[in-house]
Amino acid sequence: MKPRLALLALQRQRPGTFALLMAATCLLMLLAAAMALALRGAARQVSGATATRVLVQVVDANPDRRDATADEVMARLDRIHGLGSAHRVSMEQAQALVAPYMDGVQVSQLPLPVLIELDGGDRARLARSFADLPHVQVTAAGAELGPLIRLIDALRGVSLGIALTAAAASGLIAMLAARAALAREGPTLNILHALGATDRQISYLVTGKIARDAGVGAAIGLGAALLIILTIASRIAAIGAGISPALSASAWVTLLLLPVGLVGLAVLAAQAALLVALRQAP
Amino acid sequence: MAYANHGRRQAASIALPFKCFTWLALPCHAVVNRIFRGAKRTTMAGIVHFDNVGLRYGTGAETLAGLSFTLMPGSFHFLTGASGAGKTSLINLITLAQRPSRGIVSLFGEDTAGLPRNRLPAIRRRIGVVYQDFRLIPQLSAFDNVALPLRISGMAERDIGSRVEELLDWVGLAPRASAKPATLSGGEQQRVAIARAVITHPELIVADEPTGNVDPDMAARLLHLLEVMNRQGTTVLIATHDVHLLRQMPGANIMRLAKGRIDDPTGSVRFPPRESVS
Repeated sequence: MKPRLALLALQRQRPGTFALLMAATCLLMLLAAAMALALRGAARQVSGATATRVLVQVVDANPDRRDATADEVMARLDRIHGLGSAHRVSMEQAQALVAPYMDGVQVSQLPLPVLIELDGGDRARLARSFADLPHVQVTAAGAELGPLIRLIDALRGVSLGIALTAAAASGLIAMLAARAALAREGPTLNILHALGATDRQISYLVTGKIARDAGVGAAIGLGAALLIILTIASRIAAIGAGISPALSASAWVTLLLLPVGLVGLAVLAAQAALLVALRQAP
Repeated sequence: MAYANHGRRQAASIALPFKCFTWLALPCHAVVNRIFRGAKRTTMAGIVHFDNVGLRYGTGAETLAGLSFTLMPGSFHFLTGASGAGKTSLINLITLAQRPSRGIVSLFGEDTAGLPRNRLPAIRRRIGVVYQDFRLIPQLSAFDNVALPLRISGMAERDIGSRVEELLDWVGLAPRASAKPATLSGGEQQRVAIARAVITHPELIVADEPTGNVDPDMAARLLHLLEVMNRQGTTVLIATHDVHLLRQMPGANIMRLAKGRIDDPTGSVRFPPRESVS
């Protein structure tokens, strides 16, 4: 179809309701996608930090026996290959951790366990190594955070679902807009058909308009979404305490490309709807 | 029944002198020859062939029934009949705007019922249609309306301009090239519609009441325009119930429709037309 066919009325109408609907669905999709991407980053951060961390505790009320067992554990750890690092938390450090919760109690008199933090260890293998030591407990840090990671994964799934639903809604809206344009511009399109225009040429005319409106809507949605995401990111960053927005550079690129994909999806959906509808004509 | 005619031989017997219209800037034959140079013409037995064709809307009675006829290449036909006789329905079948309920409609030697949908546009491009209500696109200028078939057929933009301008000049509308249809008179719109119908050198021109909206003088001019094209080998079918129009083409074939059937089984040339035609 030659460019000057773009003079047709359906090409020149201003973006209307369809563009606004596209903006709304694009905004929803981008917010949901941003949440999914941020949660993926958070889940990776948490699981990455804890997956290989193991805590060995020597729980014994007898201080002498406890220290002897702890020495034995440290000695065995030295002999185990493949361990990243092993850090024995001093009793002063352990007491300092507990002290704020023990109002008025002499923490030096509490039978606190000896804590040994390991990085890069395998919990099952370590548990086997210390099986003959009765007061030694081996715990994988990741196992304790498992429910949290599963919760994050579930929330990520919900966010992805919302994003996909918004994208599907955009496609359906585009199909409805295409059918409406076909009905509205029926007389003009009938003339084009009679003059020998193919279904594809006619569908390009309508999808050209839909692509333009979808582009306008996606741009509005993207602008609004970026504003919201950046505002939330700055609020999270202001909290501090190691919490970050967790949107990587690739996540930002993904967010910027999603509206383009949304426009493509809308155009394809409209094209398909138009070709099916035009096939009903004589 | 075959409505066969041979336009070139027939043209020699046309009583009207071959003269140019006052709104033509150049001698008709020279302009037409130049505009339609290189136009391909079909040499098949029949450019339009109907075999026992019927058309029914919904579950009602047949609007058209048992139509069988052939339009030969280069022939000139009038299609007459009272209002509601089925002229427009017949034209819709020929222009592929509708499909028959039964029977065979062959265009340019091909049975249209068996053609895949993607081949229909190519057939439509071989037919120029002038509608009774013009069907110009209101948002486009006269120039762009006339250029539309060329753009649809994919012609390069650089080749379109001169061709459209020449044709607009030929129909006397060069000064109104940028005017929108709403600002044109009925006759001017009719001429734009005719220019649009002929710009692609169609092998068949079908006109539905082409003079229904114009004064007698303009009607004569438009008829002469179609006559000139017929001289170039284009097959012409004009649906009309205007007796005066029929009188101006004494050598033309006349098909008369009555209640959806062809009324005259002989298919012979009727002149002067029967008064009942009107």
